[in-house]
Amino acid sequence: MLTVEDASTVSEYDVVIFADASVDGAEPFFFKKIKIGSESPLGFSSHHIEPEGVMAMAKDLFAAQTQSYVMGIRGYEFDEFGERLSDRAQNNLLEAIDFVERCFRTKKFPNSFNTNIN
Amino acid sequence: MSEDMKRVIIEPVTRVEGHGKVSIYMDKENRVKQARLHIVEFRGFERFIQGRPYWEVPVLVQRLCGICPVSHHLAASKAMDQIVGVDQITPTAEKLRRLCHYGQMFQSHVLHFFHLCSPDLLFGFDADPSERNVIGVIKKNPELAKQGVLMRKFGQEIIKATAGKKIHGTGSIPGGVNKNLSIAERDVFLKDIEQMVTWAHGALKIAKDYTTEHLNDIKDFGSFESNHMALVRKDGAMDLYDGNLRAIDAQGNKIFDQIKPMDYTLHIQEEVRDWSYMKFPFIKSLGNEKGWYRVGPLARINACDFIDTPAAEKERKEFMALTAGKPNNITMAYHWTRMIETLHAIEKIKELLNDPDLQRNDLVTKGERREEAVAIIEAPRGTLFHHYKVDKNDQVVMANLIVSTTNNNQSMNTAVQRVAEEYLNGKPKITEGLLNRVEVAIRAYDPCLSCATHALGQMPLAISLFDDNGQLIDRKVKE
Repeated sequence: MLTVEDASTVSEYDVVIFADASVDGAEPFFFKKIKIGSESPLGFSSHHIEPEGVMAMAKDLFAAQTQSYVMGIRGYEFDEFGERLSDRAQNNLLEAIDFVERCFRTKKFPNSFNTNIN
Repeated sequence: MSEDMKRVIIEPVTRVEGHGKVSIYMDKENRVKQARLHIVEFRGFERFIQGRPYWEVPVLVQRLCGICPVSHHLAASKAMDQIVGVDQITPTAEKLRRLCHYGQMFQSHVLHFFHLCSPDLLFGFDADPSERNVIGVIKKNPELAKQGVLMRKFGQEIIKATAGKKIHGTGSIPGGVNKNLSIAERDVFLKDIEQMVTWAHGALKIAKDYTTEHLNDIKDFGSFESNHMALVRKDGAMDLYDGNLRAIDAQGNKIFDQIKPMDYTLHIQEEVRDWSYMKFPFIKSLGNEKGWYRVGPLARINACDFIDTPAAEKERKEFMALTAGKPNNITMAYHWTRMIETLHAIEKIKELLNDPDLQRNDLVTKGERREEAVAIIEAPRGTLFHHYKVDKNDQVVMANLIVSTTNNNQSMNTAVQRVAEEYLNGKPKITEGLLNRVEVAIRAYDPCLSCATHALGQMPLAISLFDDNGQLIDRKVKE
């Protein structure tokens, strides 16, 4: 759960990736650059803020020049009790980690990356 | 509802935690007949916690709310202390829990002030909605907005250091706590403590100046005489973590005093009404018509004899002087008292950070198992009751939670009615300013509607006005 004080934390970094499980996104994952617009950063409650909102506050309040991205790693078993990853989700996670490591190693972050497995 | 009545609905209420709906019933002369704050979500937490082992409760019960989980964590821990036979945890354990609690009080009050209510205070009730929000605060006074973020961060880091996580922590356990505060952790906080104290003074000045400068406008805004209830220490001092119950009437006369938590059912009863899932507690000796009361910062300042930190006590005296020492019944005064408590919390945090007991290792105590426990704590929003029964198999067999916002249920309904009577009677049109005034009155209480139904839901916002024939004549939607 992102909150307003995360704006202070992210402002201390050059690059931030907001990564989370995705219920229906592309497989194995999607990746896109966050663009800060003029929309209100805060949703209905002060305790619910989107990544775009965090980055907007980081820029407005802390002069952050942080590059930021959102990554959604596709998952499959959300309706059951338990903490294990499904095999497919595990594979997606490994591919996501490999992708992120490559980005940081080469210092090249694509504006978007959205693959589909046929 | 009579066929002659019109109905104005505000849903959801903005800039409060959780979701609620306000219905205002008007007659054919456009006079307000009744106002209701509906709480429509239901989750049944008190029911499904039954059967769980008692040691899970301090962790499990926090899932009731992601906004004030620390209050539930500590209230449940205090109750489970009794279940494991402990009437007094070690000084180290109590001080660590208090540090956690004051950290939560600090961050919660700050968040409410800077992000929820400051737009109303800084821009006025009739400002353009596109500006009258935290974005407007960021644009007009970015330094103030930044302070709010950093103060909240400070409080959250205190919680993380003492409970293990900022949200749904595990630091407090039956009989004590499971970690102390290291010197390294302490020093991180001591580095910024003076800045936090300075900013707390600054925020309090904003709330105080607003109240005193606008007193004529706000003294009757959603205001009414009421009873007030809070925990107090044996010597009458405000105590946000522990104490006994005191209730006073609108003139300051004591209704009851030093009531032990285990005896609360002798003095407090809960009423159910068919149009809301939130109950209506009242003081039994006064009955349900006259026995409702307010809790939270305004009630705590009104009910206590003094505050045991110097700067906050000085501010309390100045606040009470406004009403010549009698209880203050001005609804908008909640904001001023909330900031007095913010100052008190940071004074307490500073005191505790300099206490070497926090580095000791005597963290847990045990005793003889018991089967029933009641714990009360002053959460940021008001008095919080946790009542449990545990059987010989260590399973919870009964749970009753009276959360802060539930304690304020009738008060919020009354505040809405007062504002509606003042600003909607006879008006031919629903304006944004009029509707916001109703929400401003509710926001003063900083309600956590998530807790109050033990729910978080998504509701579309629609404001509808029907004529006395039930025909829709006006509708507004908030995105």
